[in-house]
Amino acid sequence: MICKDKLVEFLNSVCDDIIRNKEFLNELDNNTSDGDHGSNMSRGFKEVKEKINGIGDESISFILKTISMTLISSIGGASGLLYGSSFLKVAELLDGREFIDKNDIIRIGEVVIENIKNRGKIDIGCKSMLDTIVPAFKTIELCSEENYDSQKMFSEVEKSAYEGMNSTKTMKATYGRASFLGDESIGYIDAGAASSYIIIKSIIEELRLVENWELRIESWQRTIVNWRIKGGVSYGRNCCGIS
Amino acid sequence: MVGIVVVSHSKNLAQEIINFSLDMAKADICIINAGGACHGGFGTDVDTIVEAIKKADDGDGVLIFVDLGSAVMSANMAIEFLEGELQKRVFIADAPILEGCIGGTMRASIGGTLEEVKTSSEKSGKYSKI
Repeated sequence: MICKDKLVEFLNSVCDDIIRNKEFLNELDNNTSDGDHGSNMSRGFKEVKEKINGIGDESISFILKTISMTLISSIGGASGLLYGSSFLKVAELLDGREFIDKNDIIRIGEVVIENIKNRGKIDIGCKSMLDTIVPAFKTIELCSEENYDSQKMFSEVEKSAYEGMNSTKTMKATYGRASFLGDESIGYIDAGAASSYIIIKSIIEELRLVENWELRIESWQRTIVNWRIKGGVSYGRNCCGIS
Repeated sequence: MVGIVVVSHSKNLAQEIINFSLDMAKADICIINAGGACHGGFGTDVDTIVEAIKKADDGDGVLIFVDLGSAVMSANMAIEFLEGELQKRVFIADAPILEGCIGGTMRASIGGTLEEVKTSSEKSGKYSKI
């Protein structure tokens, strides 16, 4: 379960990871386009970081809408519009909600993918962010159906996203400026697919910590119960690691 | 009179398209430059387009000319952000940005309706060049 404070923490990590990968994304983009995807994304997510750290008291929906408008107005290209409008769709989905839980993830994936397909007029196989995002969410669905535990699911989703991103290397671009290069666009990972992978990986890393934290609390609670049964202050303190 | 908005990835390019179009116009019409990105370089910006549409409209509607890629997406999103009544009288021309803008400007300048201006601009894009 992710409350708004946790969401802001997650988003800060996403922003940091995008900013950190600015040059990498520019290099990828330079292979088939104008080499500014990293600069654009970095500018957008820097502004997002500034905005979200002042609105922690607002609702989850408000936070996501703020991110949406910030990305749309500061990235300045197709990516800003696709990422920004996707955040808006998620904001609408989660309107009135106090937290995000596991049951929301699949629906979030559905609205994001539908939005990108409709607005961008693209689909999987076009050499775009969808080639990372669709496999990632398909894996989430599969893992949920198979009742995988969270940690295993995180690994599988990250692997799918990574493989999806890499699959764009052998694709010919069929949309955007890269499509003008025809067969010459083959052999390079799509920058949008890469930035989507970075975002998904960043969120997974944060979720792993959340899960670990919950496991830690559960472990502490078990220890406290044991302490009460066995009695003794020193035993309890040693087990919990509290000094 | 129908207003026109030009959405190019380049603000300078949009301005020259406007200058050329106005040179051909039979009367003054409102053409607004909504080109360029928010950071001043190549790109397009939704907020800029929304403001341009509002400036260009005097009640007879607005036709938007776009160059490529994200210009189309930005223009579509700008229309979505407009209020109900204005939204109904704003369209994107399915025409090349230069030829379409010239054709549309000329028609608008002689009092064409939104539908007529759109048809003229889209026809002008279909002429063969060889």
